Amino acid sequence: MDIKFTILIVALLNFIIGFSVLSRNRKSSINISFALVSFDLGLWAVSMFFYVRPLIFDSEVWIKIVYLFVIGLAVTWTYFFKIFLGVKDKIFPILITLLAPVFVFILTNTDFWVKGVIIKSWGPETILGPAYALFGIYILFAIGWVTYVWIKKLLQSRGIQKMQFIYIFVGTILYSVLATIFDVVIPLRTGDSRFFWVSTYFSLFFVVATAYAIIRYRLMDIRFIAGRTFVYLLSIVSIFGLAFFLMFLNNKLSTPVSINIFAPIATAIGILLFQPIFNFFEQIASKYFYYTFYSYQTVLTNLGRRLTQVLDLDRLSSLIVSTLTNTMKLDRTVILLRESGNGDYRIQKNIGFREENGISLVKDNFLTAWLEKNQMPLVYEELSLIVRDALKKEEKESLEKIRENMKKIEAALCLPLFIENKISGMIVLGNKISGEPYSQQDITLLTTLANQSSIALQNAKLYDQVHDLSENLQEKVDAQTKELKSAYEELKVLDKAKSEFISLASHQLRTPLTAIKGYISMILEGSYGKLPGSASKPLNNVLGSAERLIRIVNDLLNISKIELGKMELNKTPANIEELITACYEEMEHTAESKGLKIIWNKPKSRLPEIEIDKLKISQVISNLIDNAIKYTQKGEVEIKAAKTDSVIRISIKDTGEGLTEEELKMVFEGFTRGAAGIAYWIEGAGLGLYIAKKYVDLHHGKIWVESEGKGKGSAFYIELPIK
Amino acid sequence: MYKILIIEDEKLLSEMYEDKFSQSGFLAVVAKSAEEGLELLKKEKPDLVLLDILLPQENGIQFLKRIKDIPEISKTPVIVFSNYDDPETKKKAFGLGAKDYLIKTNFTPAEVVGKIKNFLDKLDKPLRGA
Repeated sequence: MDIKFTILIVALLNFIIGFSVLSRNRKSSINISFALVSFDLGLWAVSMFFYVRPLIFDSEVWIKIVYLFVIGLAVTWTYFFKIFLGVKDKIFPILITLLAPVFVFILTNTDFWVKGVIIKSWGPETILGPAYALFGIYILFAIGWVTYVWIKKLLQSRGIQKMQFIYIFVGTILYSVLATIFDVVIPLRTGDSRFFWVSTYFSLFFVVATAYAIIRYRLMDIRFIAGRTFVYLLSIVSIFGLAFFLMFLNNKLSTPVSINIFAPIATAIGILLFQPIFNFFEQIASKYFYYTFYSYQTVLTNLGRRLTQVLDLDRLSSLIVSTLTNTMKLDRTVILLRESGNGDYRIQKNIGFREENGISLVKDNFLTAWLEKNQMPLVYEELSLIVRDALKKEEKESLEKIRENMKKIEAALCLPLFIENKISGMIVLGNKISGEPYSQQDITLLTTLANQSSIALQNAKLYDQVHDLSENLQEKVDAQTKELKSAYEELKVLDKAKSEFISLASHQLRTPLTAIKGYISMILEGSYGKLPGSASKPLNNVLGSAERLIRIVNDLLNISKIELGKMELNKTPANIEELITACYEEMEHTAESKGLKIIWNKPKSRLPEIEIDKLKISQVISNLIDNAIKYTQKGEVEIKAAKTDSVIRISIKDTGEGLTEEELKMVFEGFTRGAAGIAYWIEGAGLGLYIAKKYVDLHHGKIWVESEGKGKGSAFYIELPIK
Repeated sequence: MYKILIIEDEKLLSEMYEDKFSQSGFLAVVAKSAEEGLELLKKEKPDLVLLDILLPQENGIQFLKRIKDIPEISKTPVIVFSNYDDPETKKKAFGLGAKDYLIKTNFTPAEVVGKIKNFLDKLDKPLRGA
């Protein structure tokens, strides 16, 4: 096979890559200019093929066409780099563009450039005129300018962009220098242009280097381009295969039909079948490569899923911003969230925007209101159309202001975050580093993502609030517990101080009481001389009062001892019956002198001995008998003792004034006394029952009172455990 | 005749008890502090000490500790006689050899004398007699 046919493969590759890049984004000026360069290179290669293999026309026509595309290449190339590098300088590209028609004119209308073509044994050789040298300078100028701006940009760029620049630059320089050597330098120096056509291969340096930059650094979406290339290649191969098959059939049938009739049929079939075949392969490619075609879309879809798994607001917003920035290759992204109270925005997470720029979009409420009304994202590129179509003058002005602001802060897209049709925040995206605009597909995807994000962010916010609230509550509870604790401690200290005060005061009271009691008793005993008979009664009264006072003080001291926890039991085995008998005998006289009947009903069976503090239990029993006598004016007091399996029960019943329900409840409390105690002058400070209860409690026993009511008598019970 | 040492800082009370003990046929010696009591104890060698607890400077408990270390007087019976009836103090006093712990207000001077007399009469004291 003729090696020169490979030029057509080079041409085909150039077309496919150009077409793929263009179809990826027809609006992007980078894509358009790159496609134009690719197409020019492809056409250049095709015409080069026909120049060396002039199937139709002759080589002189084709060499002129070859040079036409070289002129075209100079122009498209200059513009591609101007756009790709974002060069502001317009003069040089205009100069190149203006000079192009001049060269076209010289090429097509004079023989200053191409004098003629001689067919030699190795192929056609072009006789070049003086204009060709001028054209060489023109081309070198173009290469020189590109190199100059490139180096300038290279120094300013960094990271990925820098690497992309380097690859494409190396490819371009290799291509342009080698092509210049084969097309200009060699023919001019040797007058031999037999390797003229070889330069077409060098266009692949440009194509491959750009492709490498794409693959390695995702300048444009390589998966998409690769997919498209795959679909076109298969489609074309299929069409050619079919054509060759038809040709084969034609030959087999050996019909005398000439090839001139077959060619239009094959062409017609090719044209008719191309679209269905293309669709077929695209479907297959979509089915198996769809997700790889749209790689970042996959990432964003996955992000949507991951959003539901993160509850922490900071982590969530970082996830959204970094995923968007990294996968879509954006230069900047910011999430603004509104405060639930005043609706003010604050920056939740920002990459790339300057703080004041990030927030500047939402300084006035116009954008918020506009987004709320329209319920869709705002794309910078569409803003000029929106401004044009705006009905009201103020709206036009406000939109124009936003457009200017977005341009200034380099924001490309505002994605509103809605919660129940109200804006809860927005994600502002910058431009793609590749310079491509956002496609419709991107926007649909981003809108879905924004909806998912707004819900996830809202949840995270609520979670934060609940978390804060529970933390606050815990703090408050802790603080109050601490307060209560200290109040309790304080009370405990106060209570102790009270008990200690009582103890101390009582001890102090005892000394003068001892003196009063002692001296009176001695006076009564006649220690200080014989008493007149009339003095004995009042002195006995004084002695009684002193005794009473001493009992009160003793009670107080006992209470303070109990409350300070200093009361100790001195337990010994005791016979309760004997204990009661002693108390009974002690009180018998008092009852009888009051005209009361006092009955001690001894138990029929012997009571077991129990471990008790004899002194204290005697005190309790005496106190109860004493009370019964005090509060009974008429009738009797009956004392009983009995045992069950586990306790000994003592009861003291009287026919006295009894107790009201209120008094029943209060009777064992400290510092209380039955109302009867006030109505009648009866000795006793009411502390006796309180102490009695404390003593019985210390013995793990029970003490209680029963009374049918006022005037119906009362019954006091004590139960002491046997073991 | 029994000889008794009363250690009591309250003059009103010490006079009263001194009166009653004297009238009851005792030889009563009074000290106003633990220090004075210790000296009188050594000097007078009484049959019994009636000891108050709440005293100026050294208290009754310290007094009990001091006499334990002095062999010549350590055997003298001591009855604590105080209005201070803190259970711990009571325990300490008994621990240090006190024969009894009486609460002053609960007894008339006559009752106190009776108790002391009973106590001393029960002791086997051939050299001394009423």
